[in-house]
Amino acid sequence: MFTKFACAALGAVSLVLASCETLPLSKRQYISQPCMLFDGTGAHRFDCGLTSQIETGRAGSGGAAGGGCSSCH
Amino acid sequence: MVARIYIGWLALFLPVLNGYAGEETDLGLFEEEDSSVELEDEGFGWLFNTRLDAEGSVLWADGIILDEYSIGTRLTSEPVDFGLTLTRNSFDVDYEPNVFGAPTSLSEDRWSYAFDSRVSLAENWNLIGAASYYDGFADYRSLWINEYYSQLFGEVPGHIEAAPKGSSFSLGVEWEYIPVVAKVRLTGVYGKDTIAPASEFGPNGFERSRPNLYTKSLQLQTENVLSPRVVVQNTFQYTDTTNREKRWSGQTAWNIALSEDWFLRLNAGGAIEQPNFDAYYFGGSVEHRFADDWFFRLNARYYEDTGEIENSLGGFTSSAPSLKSVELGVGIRWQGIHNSVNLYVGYYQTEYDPLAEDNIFLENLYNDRRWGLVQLTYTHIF
Repeated sequence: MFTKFACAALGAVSLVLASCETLPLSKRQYISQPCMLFDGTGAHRFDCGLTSQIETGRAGSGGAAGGGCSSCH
Repeated sequence: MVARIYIGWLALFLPVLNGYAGEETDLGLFEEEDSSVELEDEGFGWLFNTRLDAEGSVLWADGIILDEYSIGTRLTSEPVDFGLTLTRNSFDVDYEPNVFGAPTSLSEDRWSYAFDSRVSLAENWNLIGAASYYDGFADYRSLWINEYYSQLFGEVPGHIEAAPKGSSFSLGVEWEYIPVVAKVRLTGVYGKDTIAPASEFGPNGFERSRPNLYTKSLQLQTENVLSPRVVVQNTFQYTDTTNREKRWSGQTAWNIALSEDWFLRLNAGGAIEQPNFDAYYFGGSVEHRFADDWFFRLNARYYEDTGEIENSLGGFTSSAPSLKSVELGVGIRWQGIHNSVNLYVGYYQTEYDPLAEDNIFLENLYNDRRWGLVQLTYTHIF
């Protein structure tokens, strides 16, 4: 229960903390690094899709096969 | 089986060996690379940045080998960019029945084709769309369960061999309401899956469950730069699949630059589906630049769910019981200007709760397992 609450709180906090000002080019050296990007591909991908065959409740295991085991019914 | 894996790895190594010579290190802004391919001569009138991605992954345990190889390209320009990806998944499974049937070796492939595109509608507004198609079993578990039904009902009149396949389409809009710092994306997805249906003898004789499932999904995603060192992505999703209750899921991911050489990636999320499916997960990785163009990564994550929802014809079910899993791994990445290579090696452990009377016949499928995981990925930016 605590873990679920912590996950939700983490997401909510990030929305509140969102900056309202744009970032000058001189301050983008960190966020432009490949390991700071989301949804990377190729060498900049940081997850493995094979485990989503097992973890059906995880994001990315979408479609009808995601959870509920409808893929095998 | 083993030979096929080696051939796949070789395909990944060839472009690496080709492009290694003459590399320099990129320590500056990643997006400042200027390696455009000019297509004006062809009449397009746009400058395209082109990249090529290749990935190879193998996940194996006693009696099961799963591998995935993909190659994709992305052309990026100011008004439009699009990507194409071709993926082949292989499932090699030593099928071992628990109650009925004969052991056998199963080997199947799945081919997937995906296209996605982004078109600039106006300043800070983008239209995004994608389409995909696959032909083959969605995962190794459906292959196993299909073999069970084939051995049990294969000789019964009316039994049809499974030919699973599926397609999906998505359309969305993205609004960058503060340039670079904040954007929000709303995407709708529609998919059709032709599955390997269940079979059993009911009151009306031989019965099969419906072969086609339709999925509608709506996703809201936000991405915010909280500070020059912190970027956060939040994703909320609603999914409606035929014969299932609605599913709500969410994920938050935080990427943090601790210093010029230390990076932290955190994520956590969960899903809820009535009446009793509940899943959550969290994980993190630390990446350290230990030389100019070399990165080392430690990764750990945990997943837990309450077990899949029983929605079979009745009498017995092939749903998975409650699952707990853990992954630990290390990776090393070399990152040049035009080429990057990433190698990741992991240990993966899955533990299921004991099965009930209605699914004990799948005890060998839902065994606790210790898996090995190797992933080699490569990117070339022209």
